[in-house]
Parts: sequence; C-alpha cells; structure tokens
Amino acid sequence: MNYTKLGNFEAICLIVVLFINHIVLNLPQMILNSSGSASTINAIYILILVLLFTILILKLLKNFIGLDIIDISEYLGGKPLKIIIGILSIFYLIFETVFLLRMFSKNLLLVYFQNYPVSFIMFLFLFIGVVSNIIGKKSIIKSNTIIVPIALFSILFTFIFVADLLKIERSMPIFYNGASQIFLSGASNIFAFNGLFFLFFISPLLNKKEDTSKVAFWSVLICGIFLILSITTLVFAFSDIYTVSRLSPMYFIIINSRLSAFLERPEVIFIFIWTLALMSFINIAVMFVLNIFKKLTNIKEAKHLAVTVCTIIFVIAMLLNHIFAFETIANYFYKYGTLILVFGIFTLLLISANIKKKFFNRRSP
Amino acid sequence: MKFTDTLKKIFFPTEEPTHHFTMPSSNDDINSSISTNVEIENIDEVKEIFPSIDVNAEYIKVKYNLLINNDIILREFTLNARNKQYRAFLLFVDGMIDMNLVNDYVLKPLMLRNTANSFDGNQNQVISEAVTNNITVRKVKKFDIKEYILNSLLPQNNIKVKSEFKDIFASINSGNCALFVDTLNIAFDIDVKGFKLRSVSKPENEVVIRGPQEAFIENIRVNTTLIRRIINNENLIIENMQIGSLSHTACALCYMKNIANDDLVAEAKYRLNNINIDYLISSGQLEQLIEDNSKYSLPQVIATERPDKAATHLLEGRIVILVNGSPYALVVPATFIDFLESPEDNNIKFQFANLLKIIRIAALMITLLLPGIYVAITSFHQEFIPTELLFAIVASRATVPFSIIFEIIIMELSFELIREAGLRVPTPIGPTLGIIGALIIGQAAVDAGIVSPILIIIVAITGITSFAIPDYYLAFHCRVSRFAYIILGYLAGLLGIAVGAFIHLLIATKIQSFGVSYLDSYIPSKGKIFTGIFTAPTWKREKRADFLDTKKAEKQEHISMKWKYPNQ
Repeated sequence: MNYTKLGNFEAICLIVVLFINHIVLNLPQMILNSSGSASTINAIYILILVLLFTILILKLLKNFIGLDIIDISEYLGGKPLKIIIGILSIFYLIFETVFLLRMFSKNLLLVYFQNYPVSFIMFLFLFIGVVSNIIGKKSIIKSNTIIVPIALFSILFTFIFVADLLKIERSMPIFYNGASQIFLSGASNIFAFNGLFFLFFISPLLNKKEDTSKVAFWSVLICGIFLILSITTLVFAFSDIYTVSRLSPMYFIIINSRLSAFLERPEVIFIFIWTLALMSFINIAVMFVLNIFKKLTNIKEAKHLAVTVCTIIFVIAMLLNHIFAFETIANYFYKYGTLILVFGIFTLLLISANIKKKFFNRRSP
Repeated sequence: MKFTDTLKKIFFPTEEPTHHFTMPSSNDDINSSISTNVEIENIDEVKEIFPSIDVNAEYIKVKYNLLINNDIILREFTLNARNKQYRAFLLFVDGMIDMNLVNDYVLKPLMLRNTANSFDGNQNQVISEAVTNNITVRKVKKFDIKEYILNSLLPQNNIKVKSEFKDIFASINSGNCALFVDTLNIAFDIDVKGFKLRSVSKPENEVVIRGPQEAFIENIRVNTTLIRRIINNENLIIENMQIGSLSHTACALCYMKNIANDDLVAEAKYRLNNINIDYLISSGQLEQLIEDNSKYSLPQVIATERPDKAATHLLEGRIVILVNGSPYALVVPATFIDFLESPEDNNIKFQFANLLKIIRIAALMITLLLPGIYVAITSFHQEFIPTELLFAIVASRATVPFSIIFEIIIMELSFELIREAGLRVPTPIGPTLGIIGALIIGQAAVDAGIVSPILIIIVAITGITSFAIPDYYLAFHCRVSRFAYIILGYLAGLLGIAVGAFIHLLIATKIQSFGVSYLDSYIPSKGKIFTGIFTAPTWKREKRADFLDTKKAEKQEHISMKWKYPNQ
C-alpha cells in the first residue's frame, strides 16, 4: 500500500482506535459477563497472553519486513490465497464496522434521538466515511491522531471521577466461578485486542519499518491499561454491574460519576468525543477496505469506491431489525471472528510462510 | 426666461437633443478593429532603442499617445558635452517625479554650459606615447558620450543604462525619468521618484499597547525600509519582482539568507514568477494566487500590517512578500495557530500571552459553534441544560411565531447586515449605526415578539467573540461556517455538530501552506502540542519551529540570561 507513511504515534493511534470504540460500547460488559468479579484478574491475564502473542507475531513478521498479510499470503499460496485472505479481511472490516455502527447508533437513538430512524444516524456516520476517503488518506490518519488521545483522555477522566466510589470488597469472590473459568475459558477474552488486526497491515506503511515492534507493544500496552482500568472501575465501583446495564458501560460510569455534581449532563461531552472516535474508525476501516481491494484488483484509484463500501455497510446494518438478535450476532462476531481470523488464520499463515521461507532458503544455494 | 419663450415652449415644443450611446460589440466594425490590431502589433514588435532620436521620439509619442496623454512629458533639449552639442530628450510622468531633482540635477548639468561639459578634454585623450625610430605611437582614448554622461555629467546615485523600450517604459511608469541622446541606441534610466506618499502611521487593525506603533503603507520601498530598519542585518535579502503583464506591480520577496530554508525560498519564487495575470492590485489578490488549497476558506497565508510582526516572522525563518500599493505584508508558511496569535503576545509576559491565547481559542469555538449548539440543544437535547434555564428559554420563546432555525438565521443575517452596513457608512456614523442596530432594533424585535431575548444574547456573544479572533480571514471563515453548523445542529443535534466538526478537522489536516501542514506541529505525535500552541517565556524560546526546517535551528543559547547564570 503505497500511501502516506505513518509515524509511530500515528500507527499506534490506528490500532488503538478500534479498541476505544469497543471499550466505549460493549467490551467491558462482555468480559464482565464471562468473568464477573474476577474480571480484573482476567484482564491482566489476557494482557500477558496478548503480549506473548505479540512477541510471537513480531518474530514471525521479522522475515517479512515491509510486507503486509496480503503480500505474505501471496508469497505463501500465490494469487488464490491472496484473494481469499483479502476477501476475508474486507469482510472482517466491513462487519466490524457494521456492528460498531449499528450498536453505537442504537445507543445514541435510545439516549437522544428517540424520534429519529436509526438509518438517519447511520447515514451521517457513513457520510463522513465517504467524505473523508475522498478528501484523502493523509487527513484520515492525521485526524485520527488528534482524536485518539482526546478519546483516551476522556475515558481516563471518567475513571478519575468515580475513584471515590471504588470499594475493594466488590471484587469478591476473587475468582468468581473458579480459576479454570478465568484462566482457561477466560483466555478466549484475548479477542478484546482485535486492534491487532491492523498490525498485520501496518508494516509497509511505517516510516521506519524496524519500529513495528515498538508500535505493537505500545498499542497493546495502551489497550491493556485502559481495559484493566475500565473493568476495575466497573467492578470496584458498582455492585452487580454485570447484570444491570444494557447501555454502554462507559455511559453508565459517567452518569454515576461525581462529574454530575458540576455539570448538568456531563455525558454529552463524552458522547460527543466518542462519536468522533467512531467516525474516525469508520474512516480508517473504509480506507483499509479500499486499499485491500485496490491491492487485489490492481485498480489505479479506489477512493471513489468509498460510496459503494459505505452503501454496503449501510445495507448490512439495516438488514436485522431485531436489536437483541443483532447484538448477539455482533458479540459472537466480535469474539469468534477476531479469534478465528486475527489469532487463528493470520497467525497460521505467518507460521506457514516462515516455514516456507526456511525451506526455500535451505534448498536454494 | 421671457414669458413668450415659456409660451412657445408649451405650445410649440421642440425636441430636446438627447445623448445616446450604445457600446459597440467587437463584431460591429471588423475592418477598423483589424487595422488597429495590425498597428498595435507593429508597435509591439519594436524592442530595441533606435540610434536616431527622432525615431525614438516618434515611437514614444505613438506608444504613450502623447497627443491625448497629458501627464507624459517629453522634454527636448540640447545636451552639451565636451564642447559638442547633441540632441536629447527627457521622458517622465508629471506628478511621479521630483521636479527639483530633475531641474537641478538632470537638466541643469546637461543643458547649461559649465566646466564639466565645456571641457573639451583633448589633452587627456592621449593615454600613452612611445617613440620608436622617430615614429611617435600614441595610444588615444576614444571619446564615449555614453560613458561621459554616465560618469561625468549626471550627479545621480541611481542611473541604469537600458537598451530595450520595455525596460524604459517600466521605469517611467514607476516614477523614473529616461534620457535619450541622439546617436545612442540606449537610454539612461534615472531614479528621480518623487510622488506623494501617505506617511507611516499607526496600525489600524492590529493594535497593540506595548509594541511599536508603525504600520506598512502603500509604497513598497518604504515598507522594505521599515523591515530593514528593524532587522538591521546584511543577511536580509529583498528580491524585487514584477507581477501582472499590464500593471507590472512591483513585489518584494524578503527572507533571511542564513535562516530561511532554501527550498522554501525557491518555492516562493517559483510561485511568484509563475503568476500569469493582467494586473495585481493588492496583497489579498496575491494571497489567493499563491496559496496551496484555494478551494478551502481557511486562511493559509498570514497578512499583517505591522513591520515588527513581519520582521519577527522573517527572523523565525519564514518568507515575507510585499506588494506595491498594499499596506499588508504576506507571510508564508502559516499554521493554524498563527492566525490566533496577536503581535502583542511577544511584548507581554508569557502568562498573559497564554491566557489571551486561551481566550482567543475559546472565542473561536464560541463564534463557530454557539449558535449551532443552541439550535441543537433547543431542538434535540433539552435535558442538557439546567431546568430553570430551559424554562426561561421556553418562556422567552412563547410569543415568537417562528421556528428556532428561521429565528436564528434571520438574527445572524441581521447581525451580518449591521456589520456590513457599519463598514460602508462614513466613519462618524458607523459606530452609531452599530449601536442603533444592536440596541434599538434588537430591543424592538424582542418587544414585538419576533425574536426571543435569549437569542439576542446568543447572537451578541457570537458577534463579540468573532471580533476577538485576531485574523480577519479566520474570523470571516468562522462567520460563514457558523451557518453550516446551525443547519447541521437543526438537522441532527449534537451529532450534526460532530459531523461538521469532523469535516472541519479533515479539511484542516489536509490543508498545507507552502508545504507545511496546517495542523502538523500541533498533532501530539510531534511532541509539540504545548510548545506549538502556547507562547514560551522569552528566555525559553530557544528553537525555531521544526516545520520551517531552518538553516539555524536555534534562536538563542540554552542560557540566554548570562547575567543570571554566568558560570553556565
């Protein structure tokens, strides 16, 4: 992908933005549902697992510096594999966007726009997706670099304002339903770090390709810290949080925070910032979809296909009317889609490509 | 008028002669227009000055239309040099030259007999003499009238010899005079400018309390002098160039040779040298011709009327462009925060400067977003505001017959109308009109139940904050964008505002000013978010801006106050 090269910070923001949107929407809730009062321990555990996974990925990527997963798949299995991986990646990005968009729109609808159709809200988000991709990749990356730190600060800010509500007793029982549930089945919670999807595409975009490891570690660390903070805040500040809120847990934190003492409705500022974060993610997702498509088809310019991609996202998002069914599918996709594609297929592909390289190197004089 | 004449007029009216004029189209008289074109083309073909003074005079008479062009003076006279007489003439524009200078230091030495021009110089003609075999070989210096006039007859400090008519005409048009001498196929371009200028006065739009009280004027040479006086360094380069194929407007490209980036200077020269227009009147026009992204309304070039601000930017490593006839200098490249900086920031302590900068940023946000947010809150998110305030708004709108969007757009347009009218009316009435508009009409509109009092407050705050933005173009941009935010706020509440803000952000990140990203230095990745936005203490301003990539990165040593820390 020969577009604007990324600095390390820009690359980290690119990975983190997907995580931010999930943490704002449903990520802590999903972990809380599976791990209950032991969610903090589980979060720390999966952070360690993901760090180990990142080390593995970086080691595997070392032989393919400057190549993304599409190039690596072409190296491994030629054009057919390249097309398969490309299509899978496009599907993943489109569905990820669909679910995030629909769920965020649903939340907005419930809180502020009861009299409006969800299609109108989604249309506005996708309109930005089209406009930004027509304006250019550079603008998308730079605007994301401005929005991500603001969004992270906003999340941090919410934790600070519920600090006085934290009570250690609420973490009991420490292992909730048993250690096996935390450390064995709980290991599947590594899907929380699905931002690593971009790690497989980021290498050719970096200014300094040797900095891939720095980017990967920093982004995993930032995501990990914020995940632990959000889960700890929810577990320690509110009893029975995992059964109460059907809305975004972050929204729940804000409306119960001390901020309300100073401002009439403090959540509006945060929702405004998170709205910008979702817009930024949609821009990036559409940009990556277009670039993967460009790579698969060898077309000269793909930016005008942004309208098509956004229309597809819109249509898919409108397909399911039943919001609970939609949420269930979204959660399944988020969890298993990430586990299968990012932690499964991509990793296997990298391992196979490394074996092939080793084999070829040994065979060739 | 006699009574009989009046009666005659009533009973025997005669048709009054009336004047009719119809603009002829280019197709009306094809033959005449073709013949004129041919004539002009022939004239334009002439480039070199002729050796015959009569041919030169005739050519100039035709070219300048001397029969009808009354301010062009062609003064013929006899020039005395070394006891010989030559026919000559002086060409100049009346009113643009200093008459005393021409009379005393051009015509007098050339026309009157004096020791210089009556000296035949025969004894000085022999440079060397050698006798071999009784044959005397003398090396004789040939008399050169051109050199003689240049070196001995004209006591002027700025004379140039030109061989082409176009150069001579450009000089004449800018206030010089030209001396043509018979037998010479050159002309002397003598600098005798002496037209009336506005004196250097106080800045009107960039007022400061502690800083210098001088502003640029319309004359480019005075403006370059103002800058040179401040910078006082031989590395300041001022390159002259002309823009406009008809107006030949003089422009000056100023930069510090030892600081400014060479590529930046080359780019500025390239852009200025490749502007193909008929005329250039102002720096505002030039600004639109040299900016990178002309389709976006965000300002990309700094315009200042203050020589001290221009000098500061030059010393930072930027480029200043001056246009003759415009009291504003253009500074490139520019980043977003430059438009929120006041010249006062450098004159006051950094705490005050930063407080003012925060206030200006807040003013920018308010002027851009407040009406849109008001519409969004009253239309969608009534729960955001305290209940008491909500009741007050509802009560104040009870008698208003219009929808909120109609009401606010009408009020904003009225405000813009008052502002525009205030600019057009004569100065003594201007402020009065503003007061009448704001107080009387506003109060009357509220009393009549056309608008709500809260809306008047919103519009007034928005208007006041727009004046807190130091840059005129940025304030203008906010005034225009505000309407978009009002519509977005009405359509989708705060989500609409977010959409607008995001598009604004995307545009701002796309814009470049002479290769420098508009927001680049303030993106956290560069680690310059605070130093980029806020003013550092004077002793801490050690480095020039990264994005300028200057030849000298450091402005001052790490310890600038040596008196305080003598050992470091």
